[in-house]
Amino acid sequence: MSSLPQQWILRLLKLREEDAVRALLLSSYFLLIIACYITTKSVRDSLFLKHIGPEQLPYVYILIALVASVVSSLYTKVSSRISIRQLINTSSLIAIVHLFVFWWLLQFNWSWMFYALYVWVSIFGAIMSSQGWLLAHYVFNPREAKRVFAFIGAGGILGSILGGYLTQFGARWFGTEGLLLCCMAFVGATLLVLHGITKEEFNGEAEENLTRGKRAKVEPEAGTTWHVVGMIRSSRHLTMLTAILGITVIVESFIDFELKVLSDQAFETTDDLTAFFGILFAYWGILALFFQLFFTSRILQRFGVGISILFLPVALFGGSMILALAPSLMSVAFLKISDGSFRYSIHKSGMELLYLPVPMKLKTQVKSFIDMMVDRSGRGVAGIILLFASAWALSIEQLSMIVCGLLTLWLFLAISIKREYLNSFRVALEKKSIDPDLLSISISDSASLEAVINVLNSPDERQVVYALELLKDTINVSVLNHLPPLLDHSSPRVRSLALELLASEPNPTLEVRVQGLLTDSDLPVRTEAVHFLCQGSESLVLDKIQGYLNSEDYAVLGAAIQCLAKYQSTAEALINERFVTNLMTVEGPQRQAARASAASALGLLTALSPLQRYLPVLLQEPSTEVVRNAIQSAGRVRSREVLPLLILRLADRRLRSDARKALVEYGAKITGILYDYLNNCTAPMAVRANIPKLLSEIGSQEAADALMHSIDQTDQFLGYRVIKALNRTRIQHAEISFSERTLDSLVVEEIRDYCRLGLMLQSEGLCGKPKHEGFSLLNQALRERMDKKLERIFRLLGLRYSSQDMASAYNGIHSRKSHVRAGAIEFLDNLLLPDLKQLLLPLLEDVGVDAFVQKANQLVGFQPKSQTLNLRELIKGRDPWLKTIAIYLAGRLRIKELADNVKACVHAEDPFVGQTALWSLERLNPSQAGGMKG
Amino acid sequence: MLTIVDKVLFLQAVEIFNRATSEELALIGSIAKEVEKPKGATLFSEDESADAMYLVVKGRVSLHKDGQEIMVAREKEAFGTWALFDTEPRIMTASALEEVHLLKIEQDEFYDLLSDHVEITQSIFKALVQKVRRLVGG
Repeated sequence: MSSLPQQWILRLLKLREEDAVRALLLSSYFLLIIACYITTKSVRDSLFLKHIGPEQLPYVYILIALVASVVSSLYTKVSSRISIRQLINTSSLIAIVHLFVFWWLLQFNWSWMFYALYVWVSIFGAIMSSQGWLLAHYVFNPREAKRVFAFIGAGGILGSILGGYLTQFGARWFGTEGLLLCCMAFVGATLLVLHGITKEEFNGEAEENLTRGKRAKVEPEAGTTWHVVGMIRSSRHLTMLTAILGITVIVESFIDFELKVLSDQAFETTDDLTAFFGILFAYWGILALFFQLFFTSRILQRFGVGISILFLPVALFGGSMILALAPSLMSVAFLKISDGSFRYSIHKSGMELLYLPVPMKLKTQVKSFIDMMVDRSGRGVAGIILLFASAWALSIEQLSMIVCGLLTLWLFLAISIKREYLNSFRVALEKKSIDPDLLSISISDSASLEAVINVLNSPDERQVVYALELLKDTINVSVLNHLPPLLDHSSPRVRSLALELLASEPNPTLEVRVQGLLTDSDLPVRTEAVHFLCQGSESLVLDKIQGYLNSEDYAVLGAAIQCLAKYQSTAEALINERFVTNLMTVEGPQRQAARASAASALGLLTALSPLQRYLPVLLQEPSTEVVRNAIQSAGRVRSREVLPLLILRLADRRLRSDARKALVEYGAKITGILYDYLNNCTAPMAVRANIPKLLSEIGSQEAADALMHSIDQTDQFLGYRVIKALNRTRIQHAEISFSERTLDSLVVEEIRDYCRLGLMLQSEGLCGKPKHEGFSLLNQALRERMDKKLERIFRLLGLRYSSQDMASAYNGIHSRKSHVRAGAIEFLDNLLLPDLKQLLLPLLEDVGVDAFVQKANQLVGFQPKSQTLNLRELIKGRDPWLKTIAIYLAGRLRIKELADNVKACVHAEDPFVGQTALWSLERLNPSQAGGMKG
Repeated sequence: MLTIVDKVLFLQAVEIFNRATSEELALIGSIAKEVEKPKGATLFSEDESADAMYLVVKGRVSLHKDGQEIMVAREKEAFGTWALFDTEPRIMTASALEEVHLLKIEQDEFYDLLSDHVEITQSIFKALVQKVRRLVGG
């Protein structure tokens, strides 16, 4: 519970109490990182200019583009193998060591050192900043991100002010080189902040993400360069966006060059130059912060994205014109400050909004491409142009005119893109391609907001729900005015969402209408109605809720409990012994409603509450509604006592999904008990069959290990589900490891089984002229098993290599086109280890039956057998279905030699095997069968 | 009484199950109940709520509407298949033309099976898609 001043501060900063500590820590992280970057940048620039000279800058721009490509590729490989915490810790430690080495080496004045420092600072800035945002995405979910990212970004801007002033004063106090030691302290402090972030008790998901990583969610998906270029070219909106960003990078490099040339001329000593850069960055930060705080959202809301993205090019155009007419340090400094302050405030927000209509999957690929390729190639191109400019001895005035030309093109594109943006946005709304849950920015642009508000009048319920979801974090007067008519909408989902949005700014004139919704037939609508009506100070809210909890109408009482569950963190004071006992003693027609309410109420208490004694009772009620509520409460409370009851509910298809969700809430700590159930042959199959998916949803290393140890299942469906669950785990949790040795031996075992089945299928005794249609069935079953074995082999390989590659190879092998099959085999030939390749590839090549038999014999040393021997092998085998058919054939064809083998199966656990064995034995040896029946 | 393998051999003939593996058919077979009816018995009547499909193991069944015979289901032929997916009233009456031995699959049990074995659902979807493609000439 926060005090009044704390609440006031939180309201001022637009933060929620639960986000405050995390947001503050991350904001501090950005403050330190950006301060460090600004300082190192000033140091490297002044040292480079004074020791090497501005004429070498074009070469260093090209060098940065080249080195960044190599480092980025290495960094991507390393970062996919370790957790985010390890990644940041390691990068920070490396940075500290590098800073120290640079500080020490700088005393020798080797020229190459200044190039190395220049390139290193650029890469350091890019990596540390990207790691910061990666960390932010791990710590906050998209909805939280919308609330706190502006605050976190402000930490970065403050960092540039701090770094700027530190550089200005520090350069004179400690000397330019000495500032590198201050930067070591900054990076060291980020390690402490990171420790604080991981130590802080965040929501379970964020904490797990930090320690194990969850790359698939936040990192761009892999896609070839040409594929992404194709995607960009197919969209006019994206093409223009990419062009704007490309021009932005080139213009930035030109302005950077102009600044450095003029400032090098203006200052005699390195320290003065460093101090100048420091103060420049400080002013830049102050202006950016001022603009961000007071103008960005107002401009976006009033004028929209179209105007917001014009600020930067217009300011740069004005600045470049002044520079062309009167080149001076003052004019270029003004230009640089305009560049920095608009770029990191209104321009950044406007450009983020331009990505809004781009579907999330496409956006991650395109953004990653633009961040890497467009940025680097832009800098490289700028370097090459500047080289020519130096060769032709172009003056600053002439360079500024080139910049003006580029800015004219930029302005033209920025004006034209607005129409494309709105078209794309309307299409995205129609196709629902913007995912409200993944949207990390609010729709603050006036034109976009109007387009979303228009959708609220759509006759299509799904479109209205979608628009309301998009508006959840964009509540303002214009939105609120359009919501009251939706309270009478025919869709309960629309009514509840409209109420949820209206509750963020409750309007007293709506209270009577909302009171009427307390009797709505839909529980979520009633819940939101209670929430709307229970506003005010904390004590007032509790009094109002208490009133609804005392209601004799269980519909209202249930809604009050749901409201507490959704919006109130603690409810121990309201849900007491008397309240729950009263509900549990209700009999007659209201019994079910009262117990359903009691079941929900238990979810609001802690696992240690004595009232949890009712949970097992409620989990065994005949009413599905009561049990469903009890299951949800069990998941919330994570009570170990009810775990067996919860697991058994997996067998009930009406409650399975709820039981699975509740069990996932328990997390990795129940992996052991789930493993026991999965491998317990006496547990109901309907329960066991649902555990693999559950373990994959838990998604921990322990859960993956439990699945690995459960691969060998007699029941083929269950075994298949275990492998599928492992594949799902592999795709969703790249950081989870699988023992390569175990996987290799499993693959070899599957290949042997595949060969054994293939040889049996080709043997004279089974594939000759069928004596009974049961043989055709056996043939079919063997082929199906072979298909399944092959799929299992590829699924297992998908755990060792890339799942996507293995899925493509598997599909390729099944293609009707010979060149696709050949391509898939060639791909595997290049990818697999020699031992595996030698075993698998000969079986996949289209070589004909005889060659297959020969190769299978060579590989695994099996020999074709007679019909009876084959059937015996199947009867003695572990595959229940093949066993069943073989036993059936033994009985149908009266093969007396197999009577003993059949007899041994009469009491098999598998019902198909046992029943068929008894039937078969009656035909083979009726007297024995009679005895067995008895 | 039929063994599970016999049931599978019969179920292989049902169009809607033609993409299911033999093992999946065995699971469907495990919920298929054997029914025997005398000659002239009515299996279901027109306008009755549909709740099960049938497969003829032995004998013949007449499917008729308003006194007019529409078709005769013989050994290994299924009727009332859509009852597995739809509870709309029956559009025909089914009567045994002679003593019949049938397999009956009830809708409720079928849905329970599908919920436990998503693989069977996939096979049925494939068969349905195949049928739709054939109907639209794809």
